[in-house]
Amino acid sequence: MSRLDRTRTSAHQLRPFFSSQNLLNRSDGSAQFDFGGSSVLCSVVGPAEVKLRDEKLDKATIEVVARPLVGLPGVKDKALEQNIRESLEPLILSGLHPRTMLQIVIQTMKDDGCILSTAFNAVILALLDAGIPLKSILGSVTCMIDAQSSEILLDPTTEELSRARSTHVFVFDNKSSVQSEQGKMNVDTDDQEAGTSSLAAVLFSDSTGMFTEQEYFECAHFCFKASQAVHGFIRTAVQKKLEKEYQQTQA
Amino acid sequence: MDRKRVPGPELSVAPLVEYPADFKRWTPQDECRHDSKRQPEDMRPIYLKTGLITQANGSAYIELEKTKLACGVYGPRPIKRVGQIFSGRGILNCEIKFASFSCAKRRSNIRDPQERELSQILSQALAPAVRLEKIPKSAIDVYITVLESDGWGSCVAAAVTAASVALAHAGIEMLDLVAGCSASYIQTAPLSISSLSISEGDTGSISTSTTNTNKTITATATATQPPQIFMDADFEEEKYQQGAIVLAYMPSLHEITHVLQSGKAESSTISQSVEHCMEACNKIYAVMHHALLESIGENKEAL
Amino acid sequence: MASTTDSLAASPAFTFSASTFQKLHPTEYFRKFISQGVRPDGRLLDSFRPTTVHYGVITTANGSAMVRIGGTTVVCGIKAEVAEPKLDSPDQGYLVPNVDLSPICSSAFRPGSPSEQAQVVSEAIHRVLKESKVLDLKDLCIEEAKAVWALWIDVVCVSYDGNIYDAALISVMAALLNVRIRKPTYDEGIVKVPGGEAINDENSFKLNLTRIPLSTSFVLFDTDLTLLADPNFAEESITQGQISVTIDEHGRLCRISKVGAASTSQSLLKQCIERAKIRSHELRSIMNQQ
Repeated sequence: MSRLDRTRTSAHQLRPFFSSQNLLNRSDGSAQFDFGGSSVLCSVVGPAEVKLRDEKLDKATIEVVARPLVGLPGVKDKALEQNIRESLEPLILSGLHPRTMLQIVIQTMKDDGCILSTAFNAVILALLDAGIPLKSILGSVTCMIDAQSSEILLDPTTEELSRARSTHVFVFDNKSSVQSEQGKMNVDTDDQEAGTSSLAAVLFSDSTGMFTEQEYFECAHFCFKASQAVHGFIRTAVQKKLEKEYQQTQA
Repeated sequence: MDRKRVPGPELSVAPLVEYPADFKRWTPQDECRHDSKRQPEDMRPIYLKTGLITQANGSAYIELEKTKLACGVYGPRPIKRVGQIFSGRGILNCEIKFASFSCAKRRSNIRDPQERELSQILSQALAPAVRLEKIPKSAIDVYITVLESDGWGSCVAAAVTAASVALAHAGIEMLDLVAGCSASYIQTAPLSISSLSISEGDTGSISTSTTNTNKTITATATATQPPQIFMDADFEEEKYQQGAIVLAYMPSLHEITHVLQSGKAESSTISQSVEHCMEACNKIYAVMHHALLESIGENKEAL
Repeated sequence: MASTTDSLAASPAFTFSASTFQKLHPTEYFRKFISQGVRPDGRLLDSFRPTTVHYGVITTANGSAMVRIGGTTVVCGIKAEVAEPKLDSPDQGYLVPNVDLSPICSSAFRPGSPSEQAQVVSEAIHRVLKESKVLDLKDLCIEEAKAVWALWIDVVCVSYDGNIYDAALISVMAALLNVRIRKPTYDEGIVKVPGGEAINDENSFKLNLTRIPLSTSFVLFDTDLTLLADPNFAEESITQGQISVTIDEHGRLCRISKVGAASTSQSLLKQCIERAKIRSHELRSIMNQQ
C-alpha cells in the first residue's frame, strides 16, 4: 500500500492542512486554505450594494467569482462557481440581508489536485472571517479510485489523479455529522452491520468516471470520516483566531 | 478564443473531398433538376407546424426537404433598455442564427455578417405586415435557428414564411401573412465545350468561372436564349445561378413587402420571376393557413 | 350604502382563479399539488415525460439526433474536421461538446455569449465524455502527430422546458452512435476523403463507443426534500437542489452530481440511483427502437 505521493503512507491519509484568515485588508473577510500543494485564497465582500438587475427582495444575492491559476477563467471555472454558489445558498442565512449582495471571490494559488474541495474549505473560512451568519459549517474532501488497484485514495495529488478511474468530491456540513453520530449510536446497539456504513447526509457530491454504486457509497463513507478532521480543523482555526482577537482587544 | 465554450483545436478544416474521375456532377444542361423530381416551376414540398416551442408566445417549424428551420416569437414585451427614446411604435426585432452544423462547411458560433444581413432582410420583410403602431413602447422578438440549410434563397424565404406564421400563432395583429419564395436564374442552354472543362477542382471556383463563361457566350452565341427560372433552388443549383430573387409577398392584400434581387438578369426575366414567385406564394399561403387552422384545432381539443 | 357593504361582506375575502394563484404564489400552488402526490402537469412525482429519439435528422452533419423530452427539444449535430493533434497526445483526436441555449428556446435566455447554465451543462457533458472514457480518442487518429479528427459536437436547444442535461446527453450519445465518417487517406499534409457515391460500410467508418452513458435528473422540492423526477421549467425555477445520476448500459455509474438544497440522506441518493437504473433501461429501449 504505497502512494505515488511519497509524503503519505496510507491511502486514507490527507495531506497536511494549512489555513490563515484575514489576509486581505480591503475585503470584509478572507481566508486561505491549503491541502498540501493545493492552495486557494478566498475573499468575501458583503453585505454590499447590489446591481438592480440581480436584486432579490427577500434575501441577499450571492455571487461567486472563480479565477484560475493561470490565464482567463473558462467553462471549468464557471462550473466551479455554480457548484459553490448553489451549495452555499441553503447554508447562508441570506434572509437577514435582503436586497444586498454577498460577493465571494476564489483565486487558485497553487494547484496540486482537489481544487474544488480546497475552494469549499477556503470559502467557509472566509465566510466565518467576514462574520456572515450561517446555518452550519461545511467541510470538503476529495477521493479517487485508482484505475489499476481499484483502491480508494483520499485527497489525491495531480499525479495520482492522472491514474484515476473516477474522482469523487463530497461536502458534508456539521449538522449532518451530528445526525450521523446519533444514528451510529443507535445503530451500534441494534445492528452492527448497518453501523459500518455511515449514514451522513450529503450536502454536495460530484463524481465522474467509472464506478459502481458500492464504490460510491464507500467513497462517501471515507470522505465523511476525513471531513470530520476538516471540521475539527476549521473549528480550531476559528477558535484560535478569536482568542487572538480577544487578546488584542484586551491589550 | 471563446472562453465561454468548451475549447477545441484552434484550427480545424474540412477534409478534401476527392471525386472519382467518372463521377458525373449535376449541371443545368441535364434534362432534369438536381433532385430529378421537380419541374423548373416546382417548389419543394413544405412541412409547416406551429407550437413546437413551448416557452415561446408563438412558434413555427418549417421544412422544405433538407432546409429545416425553427422560429420562436417572444412578445410583445416591454423594452427593457433604460434611456431608450419613447417610441409610439413597437419594435420588431429579428435574429437569425445558423446552427454550426447547418451547412456543408462548419460555421463558427460567433455571429457572422451574413447572419446580421439576413436578420435585417427578415425584419424589413415582416415589419410592413405587423401592426406595430398598436404596441407602443414594446418589442417583439423573432428568433430563428437554421438547423439545416439547402439553398441560400430558400432559407431566407422559409424564414419569412415561418416567422410570419409564428407571429400569427403568437396572436400578434397583422395585416396579412407574409409568404416568402425564392427563384434562381440558371442558363440551361448547352454551353461550348471550353466552359465545361472547369468542372474539376474545388467547388468554390465553379460558380464564378461558369458565370464568367456564360457572360461571353450569352453575348455572342446564345444571346437570344433567356435563362430558365428555377423555383426554390437548392445549393447544387445555386452554384450555377446567374442571379436570384427572394420575394416576400402578402397574398390576400396582393402587396409585396420585400424584393431581394441579386446578380445579372434582363428586366423581363425579373418581372417574369416575380410573377412566378407570387404564384408560388399563393400556394404557400394555403399551407400557412392550414398550419394555423390546425393549431386552433389542437387548442380546441385541449380545452 | 348599506347594501353595498353587505354584498362585500357576503363574498369571500380572497378568491381568484387557479392561474392567478399560480402566478402570485407559484411555490404554494405547487405545494398544494405535491401534498396530493401529483404535479400540476398531471404526472406522478417519479414519472417522466414522454421521450422520443430520432437519428440522422441533419444531412449536413456526420452524425445527428433530435431528442424530445416533453416540451424540451434538442438537436445535436456532429461535424468531423481535420486538426493537428496536441503535442503531448499526438495520436488522440478531439471531442468538443457544446450546448447552445439561445433565446429562441425560452425567454429565460438572452442573446449573446453562452449563459452560465449553458456553460455548466457543456462542461458536465465534456467531463462525462472525457473521464468516463466513452470513446477511445486514439480511434480518431488519421496520421500520428500530423492529423486527427476533431469532432465538433454541437447541441442546439430548440425548445426549453427543463431537464436540459438529460436531453443534451441523450442527443449527444445518439448522435455519436449515428456518426459516419468517410475513410480518410493522408498524403503529404493533405487529408482526402472519397466523394461521389453514397456513404456505405465500405467507404466509411462508425465510432466504436465503449459505453453509452445516459442520465436521469431529479430536483428536490421544499424543506422536506421531495424528490421530483424529470423536472420541467416551472419546477426547476421553484426548486433549489438537483441530483443527476448518469449510468452506462452495464449499470456502471458514470457521474453522480448533487448540487444545492440542504443535506440529503444517502438513502435518498440510493433511491435516485435505483430509479435511474430503471429509467436508463427505458431510455435505451427508446433509443433502440429507431
